[in-house]
Amino acid sequence: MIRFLEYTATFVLLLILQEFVFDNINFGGVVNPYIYIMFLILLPLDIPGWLLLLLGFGAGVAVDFMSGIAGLHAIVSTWLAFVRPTVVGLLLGKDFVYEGGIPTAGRVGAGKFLRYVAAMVLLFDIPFFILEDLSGSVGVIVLRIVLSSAFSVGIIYFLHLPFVHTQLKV
Amino acid sequence: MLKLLLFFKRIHYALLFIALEAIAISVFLHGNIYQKARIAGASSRLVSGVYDKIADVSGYFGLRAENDRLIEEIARLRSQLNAPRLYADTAFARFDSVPGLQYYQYQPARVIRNSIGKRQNYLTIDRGTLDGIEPEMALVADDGIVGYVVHCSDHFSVAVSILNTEEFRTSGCIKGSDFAGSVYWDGLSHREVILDEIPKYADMQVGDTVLTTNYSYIFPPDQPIGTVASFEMVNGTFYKVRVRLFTDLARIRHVYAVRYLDQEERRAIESTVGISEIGPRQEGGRP
Repeated sequence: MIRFLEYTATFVLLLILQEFVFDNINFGGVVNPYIYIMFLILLPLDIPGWLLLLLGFGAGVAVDFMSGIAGLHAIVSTWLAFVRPTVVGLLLGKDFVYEGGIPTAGRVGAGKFLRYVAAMVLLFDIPFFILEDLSGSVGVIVLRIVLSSAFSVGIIYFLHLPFVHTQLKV
Repeated sequence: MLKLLLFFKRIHYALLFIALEAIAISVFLHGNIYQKARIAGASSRLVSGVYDKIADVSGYFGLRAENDRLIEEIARLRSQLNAPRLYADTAFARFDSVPGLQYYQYQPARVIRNSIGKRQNYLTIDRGTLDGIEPEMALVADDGIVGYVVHCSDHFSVAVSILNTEEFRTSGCIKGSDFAGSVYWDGLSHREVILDEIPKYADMQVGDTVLTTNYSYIFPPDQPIGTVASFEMVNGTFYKVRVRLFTDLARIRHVYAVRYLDQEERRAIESTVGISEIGPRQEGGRP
């Protein structure tokens, strides 16, 4: 129950940050960090698949409603939830999945954790920026993906630091 | 039967994924501009309320610049007052305040939410239906066009920004020439839009002013848009012009909502001969 409340609070906080802080960031129109996916990144590793998918879909719909682009975030964040178990299995190892708990730099090691976050952010940003600008020029889309992803990884790593010590034994 | 259930249990993850994606993709593909605007409108009640408060506070930090802007605007209006002859003789007579000659009604509004970093950018203003705002009213700033309203709630309105690659299109021309082309954003820089399909006979130079035309159902004519930054000939048939906007959309705080009083009448009369779309792509995707 407490874990549920914690996750709800984290999610609401991330939504607020996304809407009022990070949606207003853009350096030259190419950096658009979508950090609310940190919610999906930090979910417990042993979460049931159906719940993960529903949460991914729900997170996308919530952001769609706040930002006014119908469906785009829902498509991409559901996709991210779908591939997360595979990414976790490949980059963090099966052992952590059996153990459960949330993935943090303290538990899985900073290098592994960064690789994991980077993979998740890229898996979100690549389809997102392509779908957002279907008729756009390739160069600009690539630039947006690279710069936004780099920025997002940094921000997510920084924002997850409070979890490193408090959540170790969940 | 049991095997079937076990089979479904095994693939439930993929099935659920496909079902959820199908919902999301159908909304994404079929959600037209009106649905999108409704969604933005639905979210605006909560989110706009917060943005309204933020705008209240952040407004104080811009008071000095705001005063300068107002003084400039007053100076500009005064100079117009001192040149009544000019305006009575030209197309500017449209702005005459004598009843019966007034075609456009201006009303101030404050921008409380704005984005420039996405491909489809929208603005929210703090005026809604109760203040007389309606969809298809133009938003202009002192120094150029900004967008047009697509959805209103009681106290807020959502507008398509000129920085919207899909939903914004209007017509523009080089000042002093009659050749018109269509104005749209290519998503590259928030300071530049494209003026496309200007006939090759048009004479232009870098630095020329680009204005709106009479063709629009939404924007008043002769509103400034920007200046020619560069232009290139496409296929030897027309020019594609990069236009540097006068308005810095990143800083915009105050706009005027403009009602075209004859909009309905004009639309009705022009649709009788099938030219309701003067230039079918003039006003992005609108019927």
